[in-house]
Amino acid sequence: MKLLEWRVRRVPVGKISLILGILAFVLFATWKIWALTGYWSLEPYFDSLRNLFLTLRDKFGGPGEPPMGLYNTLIITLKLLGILLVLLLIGAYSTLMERKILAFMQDRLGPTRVGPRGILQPIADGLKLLQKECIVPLGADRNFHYLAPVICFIPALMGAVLIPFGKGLMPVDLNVGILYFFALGAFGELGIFLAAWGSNNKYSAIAGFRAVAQLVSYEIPMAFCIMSIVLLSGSLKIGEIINAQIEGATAYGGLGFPIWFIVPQFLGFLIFFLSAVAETNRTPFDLAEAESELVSGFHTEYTGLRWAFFFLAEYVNIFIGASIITAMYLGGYAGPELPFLGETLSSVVWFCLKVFLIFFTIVWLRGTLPRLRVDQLMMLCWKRLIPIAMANFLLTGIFVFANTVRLTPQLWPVHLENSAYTSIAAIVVILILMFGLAWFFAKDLLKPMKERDV
Amino acid sequence: MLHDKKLFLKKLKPFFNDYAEIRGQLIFILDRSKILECLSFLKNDKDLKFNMLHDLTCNQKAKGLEVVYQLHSVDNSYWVTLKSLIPFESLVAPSATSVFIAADWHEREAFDMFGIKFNDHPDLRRILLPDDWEGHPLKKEYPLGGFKDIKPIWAYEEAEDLQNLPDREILDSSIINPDSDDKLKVIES
Amino acid sequence: MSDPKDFLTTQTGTLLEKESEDRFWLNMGPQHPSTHGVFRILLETEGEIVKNVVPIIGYLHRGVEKISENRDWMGALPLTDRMDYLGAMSNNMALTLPVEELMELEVPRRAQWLRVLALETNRLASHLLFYGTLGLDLGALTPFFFAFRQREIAQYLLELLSGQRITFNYIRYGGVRLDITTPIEREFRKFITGFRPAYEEMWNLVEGNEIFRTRIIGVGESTPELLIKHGVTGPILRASGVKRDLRKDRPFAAYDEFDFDVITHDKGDTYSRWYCRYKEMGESLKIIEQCLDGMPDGPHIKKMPFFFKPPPGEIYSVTDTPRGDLGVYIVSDGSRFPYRVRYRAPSFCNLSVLSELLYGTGIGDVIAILGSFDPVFGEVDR
Repeated sequence: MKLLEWRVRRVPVGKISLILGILAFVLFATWKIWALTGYWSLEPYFDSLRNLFLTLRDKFGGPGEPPMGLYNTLIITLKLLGILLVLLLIGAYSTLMERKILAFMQDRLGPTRVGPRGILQPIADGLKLLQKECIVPLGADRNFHYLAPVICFIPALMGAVLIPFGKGLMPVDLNVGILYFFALGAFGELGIFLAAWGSNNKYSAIAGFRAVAQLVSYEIPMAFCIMSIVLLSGSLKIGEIINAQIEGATAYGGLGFPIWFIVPQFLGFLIFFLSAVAETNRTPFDLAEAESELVSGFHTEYTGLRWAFFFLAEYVNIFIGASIITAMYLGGYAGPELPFLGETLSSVVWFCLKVFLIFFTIVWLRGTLPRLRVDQLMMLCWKRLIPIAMANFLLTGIFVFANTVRLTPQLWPVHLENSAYTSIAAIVVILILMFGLAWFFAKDLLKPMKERDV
Repeated sequence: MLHDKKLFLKKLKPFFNDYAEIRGQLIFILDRSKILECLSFLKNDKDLKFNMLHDLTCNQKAKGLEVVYQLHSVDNSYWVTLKSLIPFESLVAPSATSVFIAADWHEREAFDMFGIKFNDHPDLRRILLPDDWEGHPLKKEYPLGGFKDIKPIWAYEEAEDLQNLPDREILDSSIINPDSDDKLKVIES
Repeated sequence: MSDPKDFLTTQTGTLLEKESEDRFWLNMGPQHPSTHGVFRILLETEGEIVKNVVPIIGYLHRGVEKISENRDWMGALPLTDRMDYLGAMSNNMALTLPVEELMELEVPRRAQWLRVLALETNRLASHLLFYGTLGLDLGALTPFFFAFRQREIAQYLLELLSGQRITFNYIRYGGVRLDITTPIEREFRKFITGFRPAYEEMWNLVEGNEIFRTRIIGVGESTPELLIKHGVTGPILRASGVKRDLRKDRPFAAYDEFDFDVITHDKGDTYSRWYCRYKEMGESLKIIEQCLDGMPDGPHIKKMPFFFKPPPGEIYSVTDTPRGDLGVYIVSDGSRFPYRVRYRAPSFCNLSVLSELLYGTGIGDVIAILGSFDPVFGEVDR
């Protein structure tokens, strides 16, 4: 038919500029090498690569390893690919898990067709999405539209280094661990906003504004909760935080007794959990997607693999959020050793169990709750969560101060015997105080929200 | 009981020319000039309180179009029908929107389907049909299939027939213009 | 993206307020996931606050009235199924009623009771759909599945009764098409026993859900005066405190023989509309039970020729549908064909008040309010 013969002839500006850019860079680099060394060589390239691999070996291989060879490079590359694959599988299989849990809640079966009990469904979905065309709207900003899924996805992958899978199985115990988690959250926002802005769609634009307002707001209560945890554990390192919960003692002083932080920080746990749900754009805070209001929100104009990137990023983010909650409040991989499994494996099992619990709760929320309105969402954050989180922070400060005084008898105003009884009595009093105040505020948190205007 | 016949006849005496009762339903026939007056009387009268304009439509007669008002009193549960003949020579009726805001969409629909003009209507344009539609379909002289012979696209068997598609205005400037000489040209928005 | 502003300035000059830089036009529909069909609203928003609303309808216009004029009376009946496709029974009823009145037909009592049975089962199915879709509009998935599980059974019952799932064409001039049999009655009773616990569960799912309540209480408040002014009827009017139900005030079929309450609520907001429809489901269930218990004997239809000629005359009759008053104005010239059939669709009138209710609300509320109106666009556009 004649209708099909019309073609759009378009100059591939993006590709041409990319190729020109690479060419220019290579020419410039070659010239620079020549200018610096006086001879033509690719040695500096290799040097920088070697440095990279050495750094990686320091991180992954540890001291005492044989020097870097091609074999080790290969191993490390394979390891990295393995982690990537595991992460992608976690992202993909979270969807299946969510669909199955939701189906269970709604008296349905969920996916059953692909593989036994639908176990291959995510892979089939992935393959389907791979084949699909990536459509870019005519009026869209092509570069932003292209970049946004990448910017969304990469921080999600980068967050994986923080996950303490088990005892001694933490990829990297960064000394700014929690801050790093925070920084990655901010990166994700950028991706969402770029997607919303680059799509040239009004629904997307509104979703973008909503997302930025929401994510920026919900970082504040989250930060307060994290600071409380840092006060209790005395460290920003995830490993240290878990240790503080298992062993009780830290270099800073810490609590002096082992306890999961969900007990003294129950309020903080609630707030952090809600904020984490909001940060990952899940129901009831999925205003940036809001499929009944804004069609699909910021990814309305995305198809195929680019859309899949958003999707994967969301689920990987949920996984990372759940892991951080587990590490911060539920004692990470702590748990009694299971028979026949050994220490490491049973710690992995405990960690996975706890993460699944959190994930299940998040899906449960989706199964029961509708979406909040924008003003209610912001009100919940600014009028409820932030004041309570601040109060929680203040109380934690007082608690830590009291605890420090308890542990150092020189500071006591009245000399008392530092017996086990006084210690236990002090601990009990402090815990009851914390719990009482926590419940006092939590009741307030659960009160119905009547005011409509912000 | 749909109405109180005695009361209605007494109250509406100054307005109607004629009345009829079909299967327990009162129908008053009035002049075009008295429609608005009668409507506002029915609405404001304390005993009748016809506060809802339930329906407004047209009916084609030999000499003109009959505008039919169905009024309803929610409080008293009364129903009454008013009719007025608008001759074909001047298809203009007074708009009831000043009395009943509910008449807004109904009058637009009557205009859409019958081509009757309503004076002082705030926004008289087509409501169900596209704005560029020709004719008023519910008139008796309008054929069932419409005036134009427009076939659906799958009814054109030959590829050549596609060239002879009826002209349509291209509303979205961002699509490819099939009528331009250079068929590969993209029209930028 | 073509700017609807150009379209608007040419089309609706008077509706436009002064232009402002903070505002922009948002086009919702006709292909929007939650406009409940092919409805298009242009919203002028300031941030998320709606400042101007232009509803555009007509995307599903099929000319039912015109086609009816070109068919005989029997041929006009199946077209009514295609108007309000969620409450098709009541649309059948609406057309048969004036024709029977005009012909002064005596409809057998059993037929009237069967009509009530079919109408109320259909009302139940329609309100169940409303329950589910309101949940979807607010972003909750589970109510939809809970409601549709029951609606599926109701739909199955209607299929047993009439032989069709959506377009029943069951209520005919002079009675109903098929009689009810004992196995079908048994299925009905099974449905009633199974429905009660699910009904309770559905109440808890919304009433015990804080976010659900926050989303619908106080949203889209309306006064009875405003609604009556715009000709709004049905559950929406009842939700604002007006105790008006045509099944009581102007009984058709055999509704005067049944014992049921008219559900009202005083606030007139989205929650009230939800409440009224929810409670009406219970009343429908009551009526269905009474129907099954006291079904009179006799023929289910008065034998009629396929082609018949009603005497010349005109009738405006009104029936109550799940969405409000469906008025049918018929004019007969004494021939086989209707001279004029006019449907006063309840959703059409209900939607006209929308632009007043939406002013000043947010985009999320627009969807909630539109969902609580429960419009069917087959009926609006006809």
